[in-house]
Amino acid sequence: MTRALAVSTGVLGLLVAVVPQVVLPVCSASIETKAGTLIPMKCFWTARAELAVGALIVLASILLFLSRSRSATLSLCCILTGLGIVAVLLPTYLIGVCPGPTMPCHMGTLPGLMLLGSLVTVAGLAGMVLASRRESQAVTWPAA
Amino acid sequence: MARRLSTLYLASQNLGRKPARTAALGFTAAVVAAVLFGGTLLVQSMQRGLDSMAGRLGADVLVVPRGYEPTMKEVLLSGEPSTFYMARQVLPDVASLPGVAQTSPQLFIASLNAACCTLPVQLIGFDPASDFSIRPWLGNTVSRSLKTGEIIIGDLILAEVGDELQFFGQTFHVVGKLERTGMGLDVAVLMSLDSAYEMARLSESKAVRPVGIGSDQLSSILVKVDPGGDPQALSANIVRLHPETDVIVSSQMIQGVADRLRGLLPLLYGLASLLWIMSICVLAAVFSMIVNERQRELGLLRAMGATRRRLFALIISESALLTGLSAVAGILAASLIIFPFRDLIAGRLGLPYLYPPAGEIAVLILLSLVVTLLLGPLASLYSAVSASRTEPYAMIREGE
Amino acid sequence: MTLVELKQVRKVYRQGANTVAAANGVDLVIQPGEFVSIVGRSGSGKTTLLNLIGGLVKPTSGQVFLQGIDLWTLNDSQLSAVRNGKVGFVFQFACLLPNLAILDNVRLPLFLGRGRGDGIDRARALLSEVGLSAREWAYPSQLSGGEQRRVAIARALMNEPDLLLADEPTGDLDEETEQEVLELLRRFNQAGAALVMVTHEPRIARLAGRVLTMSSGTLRSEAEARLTRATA
Repeated sequence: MTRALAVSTGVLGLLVAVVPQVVLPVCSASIETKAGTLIPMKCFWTARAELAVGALIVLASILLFLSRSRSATLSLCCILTGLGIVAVLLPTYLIGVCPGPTMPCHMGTLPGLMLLGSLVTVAGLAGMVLASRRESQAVTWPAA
Repeated sequence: MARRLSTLYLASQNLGRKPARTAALGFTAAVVAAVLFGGTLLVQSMQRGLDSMAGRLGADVLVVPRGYEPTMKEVLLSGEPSTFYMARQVLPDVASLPGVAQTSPQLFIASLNAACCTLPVQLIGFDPASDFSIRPWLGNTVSRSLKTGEIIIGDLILAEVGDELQFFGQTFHVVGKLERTGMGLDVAVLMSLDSAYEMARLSESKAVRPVGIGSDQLSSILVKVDPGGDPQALSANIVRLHPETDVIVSSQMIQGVADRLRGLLPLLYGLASLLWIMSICVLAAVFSMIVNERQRELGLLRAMGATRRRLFALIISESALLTGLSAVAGILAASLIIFPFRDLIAGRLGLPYLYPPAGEIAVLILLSLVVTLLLGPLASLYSAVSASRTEPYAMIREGE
Repeated sequence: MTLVELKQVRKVYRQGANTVAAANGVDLVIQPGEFVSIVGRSGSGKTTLLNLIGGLVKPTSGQVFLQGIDLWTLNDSQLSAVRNGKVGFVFQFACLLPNLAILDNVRLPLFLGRGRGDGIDRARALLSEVGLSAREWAYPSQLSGGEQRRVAIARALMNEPDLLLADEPTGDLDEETEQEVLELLRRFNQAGAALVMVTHEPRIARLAGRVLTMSSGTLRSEAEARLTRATA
């Protein structure tokens, strides 16, 4: 069960990293500063940050897949929950995306990341619940 | 775990102890539910968008410069901004034709790709005195006439009442915001015709790129036909009189979109039906396998005193639980795509797009749920009946 | 009143062109609390006889009475109630529901008979009597053959039946487990339930108060059987 969860979050992590780049890409335009240089918009940085978050989610998932002890599973699921929350916060609060409702980052990337991040969070929480329940069940078993 | 035994509990245990098989079976049912719910919602939203457009288009006939018929349709449907114009003289000429009840001019100007994070919007100048097509959309927004420098914005424009927006180097005050129309008006900015001409004049000196329209030009003329009049005949007259124009008959335009939609519906329901039938076949085959494999178990239950009806109920409950839960999962999955990505879908469709009211959506969810849930019992019906009719001893011997 | 009575019971199976008589005009009377064993080689029809007694298979002709009631005049609901409340089965292959924990398996008869309560206390008591209370949340696949057999016995006794039917209860078991199982069965028989046990091993059959032999569908007492063999 944990293994299935790990594979799911691994896939989700990959999507978190890749979706803002390729599937639902952020705005490609740049804006001009007062000094005259061209810099990318907020959504560009959000996409960059999600690359890192996505990679971390994948890493945590791999470790979860390989974990043997209950405490390791619990900790990794806790981390995954946190990373999922960060994946949601980046495009909404921490960095943000373009405010215009018809901008591609707002229509596509934002809901996409919120969806993926929420799924990772839910998966992490489910993993935590499962891991702690197995712990209490193990107590009722005397040595065979 | 330690509670009263029940049929549902037994069913859930049977499903839960074989997770891979349950998941695989459930997947087919979930897909059915997702397609049914998602597909129907999509089509219903498009139909509502269409109805709302048809109901409030106002004009029977639209006069535009020659060659700009497709452009005008795009402006109306998806709000793709454009600038086009013809001579203002066309207006009085059209107004004087027989069969014309009312006319109203409009000016279409695409804004520049201005400040950060805005896309070009469609500026529409309309005549508040003679207008009959914009007013139905205004609702409670603004009751008095628009003064120069005042604008009403569409629902998707990034501003609120009281804000200021810049176009062509000039400042405008937002005095109203339209409700969601599902059409091009969502990304439009409305101002009075005079305001538009003033903006065009001042843009020569103030804007990076001037508008380039004079007050002797306009973009389109909306015509309302006399009751009982013939829009087709009128449109022929107009083109004969002014060959440099094109005429759109609204009912035909709507018809075109409606036809596109009408073609979609049978396709969707055909697909959903096919999936449903396939699912029943797959589920029936697998359930019959499962019941066969559990012959001894079922015979055992009969030996312990389970009635025929109880056995039947057990098998049906298990399949119903499977498809019921899968239906929920499928509808949830479809919702997670349809609702957050609403604007993206609407944009890609290029058609008017409005959700049905929450009550109707709830009914749709319920229907999709029930139709999918029924898959299980129907698929396992034959196996359940034959198992309940078999002699217990015969079932128990199966395993030996 | 006699507990079980079979009158001229025949059970005939058709196998292609041949007919096989698994039971051929069997007469049998069993008293409450009796311990009867039925011996015979495989294919002799002894398992069929056991199932005829328990009302799991309908005779081709003849009558089966349980506590004076002709079983095959009952409708499905009534017959199921009899199987549930009056008879306990222990089958040759332990036959526990693989997807339920042991505790749930044991209390299954209560649920099927729509008895009151959740049955947990009684099920626990029975598991304790068969020595498996520590494993109540285990699943059958986690138990050995002998342990599964003991659970099956506990389950058969859940509704306090008047009649316990055991089909080769010690088949596939090692000697030590065999003794445990037989001891359990004997204990429950002494507590009041009649026990009819089918086995192919004469030495196990001899533990019963009465030994019957089954051969090609015909039931005889042991004495008769010896006589028949001697004169053959």
